[in-house]
Amino acid sequence: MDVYLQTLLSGLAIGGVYALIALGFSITFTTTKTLNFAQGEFIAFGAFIGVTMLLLFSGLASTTTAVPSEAASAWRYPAAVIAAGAVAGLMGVLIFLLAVRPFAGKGGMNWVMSTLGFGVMLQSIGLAVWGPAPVMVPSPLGDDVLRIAGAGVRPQELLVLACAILIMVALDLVMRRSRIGKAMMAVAHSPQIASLMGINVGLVMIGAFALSSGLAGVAGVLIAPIASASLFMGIGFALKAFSAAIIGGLNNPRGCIYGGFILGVLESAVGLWQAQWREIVVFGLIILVLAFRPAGLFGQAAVDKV
Amino acid sequence: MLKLKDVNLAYGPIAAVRKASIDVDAGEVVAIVGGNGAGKSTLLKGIAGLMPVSSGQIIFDGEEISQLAPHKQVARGIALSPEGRQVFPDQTVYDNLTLGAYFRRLSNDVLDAEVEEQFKLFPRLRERRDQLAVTLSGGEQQMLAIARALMGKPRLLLLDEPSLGLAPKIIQEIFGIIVSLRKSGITILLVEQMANMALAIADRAYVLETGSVILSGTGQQLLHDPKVRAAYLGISHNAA
Repeated sequence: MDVYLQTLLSGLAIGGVYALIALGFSITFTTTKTLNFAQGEFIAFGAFIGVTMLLLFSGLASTTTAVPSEAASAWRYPAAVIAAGAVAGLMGVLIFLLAVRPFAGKGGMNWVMSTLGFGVMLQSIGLAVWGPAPVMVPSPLGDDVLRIAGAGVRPQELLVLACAILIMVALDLVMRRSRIGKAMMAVAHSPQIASLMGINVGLVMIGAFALSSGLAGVAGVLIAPIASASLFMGIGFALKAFSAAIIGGLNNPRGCIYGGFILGVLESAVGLWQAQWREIVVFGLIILVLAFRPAGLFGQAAVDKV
Repeated sequence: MLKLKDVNLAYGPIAAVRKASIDVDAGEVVAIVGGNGAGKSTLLKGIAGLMPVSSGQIIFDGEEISQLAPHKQVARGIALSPEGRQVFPDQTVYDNLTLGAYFRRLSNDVLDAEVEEQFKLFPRLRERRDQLAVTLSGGEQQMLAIARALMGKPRLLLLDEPSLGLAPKIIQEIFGIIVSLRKSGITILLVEQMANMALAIADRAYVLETGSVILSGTGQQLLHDPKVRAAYLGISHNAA
């Protein structure tokens, strides 16, 4: 029994990370009809900016292969999370202006190449700054395994899950209740009609990329104590999160969140059975889902009354 | 109030409006009639800033506005109720209306009061206040589109095909509202395929054919013009 609960909790934790990143994919897709294919590099960059901040806040040398656990204590970890989100958000503005806006809305798929290329450049810059070695990152809650109903859980997993849920609930409220959220929905429906309302569509699109990239940056710092920070960590997470968004329905933010959790738990459950079969089963199931529900589990083909 | 001087609008290499010159004076209802593909909607899009003006001038209240972004046009007092209504289907009637006033940054109290004003003009929308716009009938969506445009407190209201796809009874109702809006002092530029109805309520009108203005005059003059009657009112003089 304990082992199942343990599997469920770590599945939900990793699923929470997938959900955050998947939500980011959904935010840019609904508002600009483009995706940031450098999202993986934003996750890795987020993790390393987090590492750098933790070291900086503690007055330590800026490169290392393991961050000492004191460096993540008290206010330092939350501050590093916020800083990574903010820096990644700014980088999101940059990628939108340089690699997406010149091509968005003009048809064609140039933005796919340009965002991928931006990601490759980011990774090379990252390697030049931080080097290729992975960095161990301590959890602010320590690394002692907690016992919940007999199941062993890493405290960081609970923290990741709590943060992911908190962020997503807050965003959901903003999107549904606030004026800016409704303006974003209007842009998602039609940038032209939204502009007739006096909404500055260009600004909303920049904001969408900042938010989406910020989420990836935050996800990177959250996952670093579990997966350890590496400039090659992002691609796997981004691919899974993208799959989660597709399963949930790219144009449905809540669907993307559910997709993330479903994928995380599924992956964790298959891993319990046969670790080496994990990816095969997970991606096999994704293909199966799409064969029967092309718009995703929670997506629906938009129907407008004419 | 609004003056178009030799305005050209094009979709890539294809000219949609050629050298259109149109005047709208304050307080007038001006109609633009013409067949399918005559360039009527394109002309309104050009005025609202949704289409780049390839040459010519659009002057509103003495200022050149042809290069302004659409979200700035609406702040100047020009609102467009677009062709096909284009309400936000996944938002409620109330939210659609508040979006119409988005750029005015009103407090919630003022916003509620202004939404209430629209409900007085369109009582059917009040019953649907918290319904998603996608669930409304075509006529209700058209009313919502007009009310949403009015929430921007425009001095010039651009109406694109408000009768499109609606039952005759609903069209009567919509045109009744246009007449009452005019009484309240809003200047209206109306694009319509239903030429007879549009000409009947218009002070002045322009006939557009393949992108060019071919006729202009008062609504009544055009309504009785034999060419207009033959081409757009379906009244033929040489029927066998």
